[in-house]
Amino acid sequence: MGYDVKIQRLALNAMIDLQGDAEAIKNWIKDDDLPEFPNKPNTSITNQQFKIYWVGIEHWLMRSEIELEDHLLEMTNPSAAPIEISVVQVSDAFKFFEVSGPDAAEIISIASPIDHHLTAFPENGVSFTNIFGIKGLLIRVNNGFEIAVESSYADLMADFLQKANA
Amino acid sequence: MSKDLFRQTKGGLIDRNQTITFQFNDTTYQGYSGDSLASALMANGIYLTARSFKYHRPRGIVGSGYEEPSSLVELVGDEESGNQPITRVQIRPGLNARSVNCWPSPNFDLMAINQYISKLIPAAFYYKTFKWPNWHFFEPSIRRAAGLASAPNKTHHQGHYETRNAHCDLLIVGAGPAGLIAALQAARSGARVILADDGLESGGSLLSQHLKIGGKEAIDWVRETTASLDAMDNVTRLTEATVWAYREHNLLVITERSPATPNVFQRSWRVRAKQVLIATGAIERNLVFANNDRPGVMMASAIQSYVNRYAVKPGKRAVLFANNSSIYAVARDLKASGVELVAVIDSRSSVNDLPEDLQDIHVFRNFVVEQCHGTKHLSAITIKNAATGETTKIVCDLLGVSGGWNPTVHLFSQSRGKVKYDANLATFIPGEAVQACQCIGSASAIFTLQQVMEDAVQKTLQALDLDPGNAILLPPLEPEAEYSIEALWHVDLNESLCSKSFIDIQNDVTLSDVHLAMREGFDAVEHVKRYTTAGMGIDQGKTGNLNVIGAIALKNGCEPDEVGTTTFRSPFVPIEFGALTGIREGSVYLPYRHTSITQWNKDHGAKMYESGARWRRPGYYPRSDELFQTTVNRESRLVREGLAVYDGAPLGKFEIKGPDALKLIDMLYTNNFDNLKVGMGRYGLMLNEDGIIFDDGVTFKLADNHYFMSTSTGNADTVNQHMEFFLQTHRPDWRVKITTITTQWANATLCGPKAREMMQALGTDIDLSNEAFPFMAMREGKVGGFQARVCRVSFTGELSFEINVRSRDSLALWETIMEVGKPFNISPVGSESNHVLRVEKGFLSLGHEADGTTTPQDLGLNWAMSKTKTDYIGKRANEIRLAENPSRWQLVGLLPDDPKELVDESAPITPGGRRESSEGFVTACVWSVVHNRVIALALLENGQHRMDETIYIRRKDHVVTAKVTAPCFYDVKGQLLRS
Repeated sequence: MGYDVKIQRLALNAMIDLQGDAEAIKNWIKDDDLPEFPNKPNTSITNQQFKIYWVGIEHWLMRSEIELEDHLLEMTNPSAAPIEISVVQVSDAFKFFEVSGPDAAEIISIASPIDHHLTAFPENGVSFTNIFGIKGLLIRVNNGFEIAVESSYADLMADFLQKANA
Repeated sequence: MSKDLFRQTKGGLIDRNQTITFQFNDTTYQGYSGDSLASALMANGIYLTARSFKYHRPRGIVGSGYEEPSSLVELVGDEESGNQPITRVQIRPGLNARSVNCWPSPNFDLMAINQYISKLIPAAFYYKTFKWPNWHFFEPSIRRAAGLASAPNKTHHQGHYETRNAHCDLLIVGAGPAGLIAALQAARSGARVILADDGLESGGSLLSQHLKIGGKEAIDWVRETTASLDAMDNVTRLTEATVWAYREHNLLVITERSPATPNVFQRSWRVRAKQVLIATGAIERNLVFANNDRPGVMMASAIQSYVNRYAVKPGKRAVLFANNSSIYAVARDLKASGVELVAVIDSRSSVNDLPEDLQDIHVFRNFVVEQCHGTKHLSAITIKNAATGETTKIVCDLLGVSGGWNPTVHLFSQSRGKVKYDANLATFIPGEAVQACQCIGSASAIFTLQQVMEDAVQKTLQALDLDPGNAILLPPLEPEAEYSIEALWHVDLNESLCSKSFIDIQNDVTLSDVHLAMREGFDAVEHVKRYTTAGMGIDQGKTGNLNVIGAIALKNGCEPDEVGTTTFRSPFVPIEFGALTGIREGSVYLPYRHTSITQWNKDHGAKMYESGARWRRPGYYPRSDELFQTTVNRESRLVREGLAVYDGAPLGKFEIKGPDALKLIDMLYTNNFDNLKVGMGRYGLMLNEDGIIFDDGVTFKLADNHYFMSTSTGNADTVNQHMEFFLQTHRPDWRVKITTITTQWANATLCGPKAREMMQALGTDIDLSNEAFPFMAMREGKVGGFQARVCRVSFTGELSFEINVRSRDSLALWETIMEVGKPFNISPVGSESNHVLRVEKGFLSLGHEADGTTTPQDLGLNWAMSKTKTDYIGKRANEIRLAENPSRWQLVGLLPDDPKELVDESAPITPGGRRESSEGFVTACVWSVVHNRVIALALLENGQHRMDETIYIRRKDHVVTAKVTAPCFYDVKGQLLRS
């Protein structure tokens, strides 16, 4: 192994894609368990149960452990959401990887052109970016990063990460 | 052989405690840690290191760094690679190198015969000579003879290549005095700095000169400075790292030759820098005179480097020849090394800058070197008084030449910055920058250390937008003489000498070649370059380009700035292909995508291959010893007669929602969607702006202004971009949101007459009757215990149910289907049988019938073109196309006269089968299990009006005749799929 990192494929997460006016979304999803929405683009807000990522213009992702998926769906009620907002279950659309350890940033430098320096990509940084040529979500976590890619690319991503750390 | 034969007894930056054994041309030598291959060979008395590219003349070492034009080597063994300047190869245990352009050795080279026929092979001779019977007749042997090395045929054993990305506030290219002081200034201001240098260690020219900085040896200042930089978290200092490309938006590429990371053989960095300082120094020019390529003729700065840095004596009796003042520092160091300095030949008419301490040197003012003597090594020179023509012969074995200094503007020029000619310095210097970059130090034509450092600090402050008060304190420096020069582009040719004056040593281009090009009308600098190859290849004109420009100027009677420069191209130094690709090789060379049942498919013997958008899908599932066609026939028959299941997961899927969603759908598709009912879907065609079919698919209405769109597999990403582009650029006011759900939903498609029975067997709460669940409807409910969206669409022409479930449920659903389907003899089918079935139905396939040239009308899809919609993407262009040419190539069916003859897809159709312009081509040809014969689809000129006509398909060795039919061979009324 070239770098001091641990790379692992994570279990399925519950994910909801939210698009539309922020106030309309907040009005639709009212739950005491939910954290506030992030106040800066490309950052996340986390509480013990949920994470909210601000990933684009009028675009957020909500994430939780898969065990809380039903709760998440109840909160967001995708099929009944008003026409102004889009609420779509995307839990199965993503596969997550964690790259952790002292050299995690080295692997991310190989994988992505994003500037992941703390001054540009803060501790709660999250962004869609190019990861080994594929659209992927990069999230800074304790001691490293998480990568989420469209699930069809999961095997390829694992292959790439293994090669990067060969 | 002894490593100390030509080594000084002390000094240098080599580690004499570490002896290293290496091989060169199958002979074992020794050197010291810190030696380059060039210095180690020189210390061993090896002066003949290569043969020239074209004439196979003896060649030695000319430079000391990346500018080396003469001696390239190939590395063999585990590090196998070519195009390595001998001066950039560090010796290390196990190093095995050999010379290029010679066989069997540089000392005895059979191809040296070229020297004797050189008059027959001047520049561009092959353009004129190898015309008859055909260039390609000669090409293979010329290619074998040309080239600077053979390509490696195996991978490295010592790790892999890596490419990575980096960002910084300031990238400093070059860690000489300017680069180091700039890095120190920037780093202390807190900026994120990357400092990259081509050399084994930082220091640049300071490593080769005896200078004092702050009262200490320059090397001590270098090491203190680098230690300070290394201690700062905001600095990345790279050595043996060449910045070789400057792209748009301040993207620069660095390749690190020996990264410290275990298993990484070479590493390329793609650096996005906010600001760039180019501190690449200057490259010394060669001087052009007869036989100036003899081993023993070297750049003066290289001699200085060898005697100071490597403690090598490059010769015993030396002469220096220059047109500028920098030669006297070399003279001083040469004297100090113990090499006998016989004379300095200074071409300048008046020399006022001879240092006080060198008054004892014999200086020939206003003289030039007319010719070198010797065959495989320099033995003497003839010098000539420029005023009187009087000549004198001087015995010597080393000649150092300096034609002046060119700022290394390659990267600056690559950044699209303009260079301008400075007559006082007789060189091109950086002009106006186009990107956020500046040249500093010698790269900006500043040549004294004091000025170099002041310039570097000032421009660093500018680059970082810092107040001048933040400038760091410069160390005290010793006074230096100002640089002065008188241009000498070449010594006048003396035809009577019958010797060659090389202007580009690497490409074996002589002054006569340049004159020949100009005589033949190729007198622009870019034409001269192409005619003669001067400045091409890995050299990129480092030592010779300006002399070419000067020679053209002299011949034309103009100034060099009127001639201009050629284009400086990347890479600045040779770069291995592996360093460009990094880890993208082997299993990830072609990206791939898998569905949830990919492993199941592999476990069940499916032949998997790319089927668009990087998806690896099952092509067919052969049983034991089944042949391809047998398998495809079996699978196709199964769908027509029984029941099969197909992995349709890769189909593109989007959820589209918002108050303006219907407007978007109507703008994308050619047909109307405004009367679509909830729970129903509609087939639609998307056109591009040119009115050509771009994609097709089915879109279901989930609710008002809420849709579930499916697209072709191959175009899913492109359709997404198409929609986003339209919304973001044409209709940013429309409130529509698109969510990609291609991999959220997996899809198992049951197809065949028994599909409904199978659905019932699986168990579902959906009413499957044709009345409750008609063709093109979508229903949600439980199927086999899984929550599903079931769609009644068909790509095969049979009754079909597309069962969409969450991807996590896909494998379980698939296994349930296989288990429950056993009584129905269910079997999975692949994309090959799907292809057969869709051809039987005459359904279009992207890439076949919809090949980027066809309109819906060409394919008989006029019914899908709304006559009432005022607009949709591609409408106007489509109408114009049809108006201009109503008899376009149109979709038809074909029945070959020989029912067993399969025709290649894309085979041309020509009038009478003659070899003339085609009137169409075969888009698909399959064995039909329904008709038990070959059927085909084709695009044929005015085809819709040529039914029953016989057409002619050209194959490689014969012509196939076929009858034109309607492009549907099965269930023309579509009753089965609606059943």
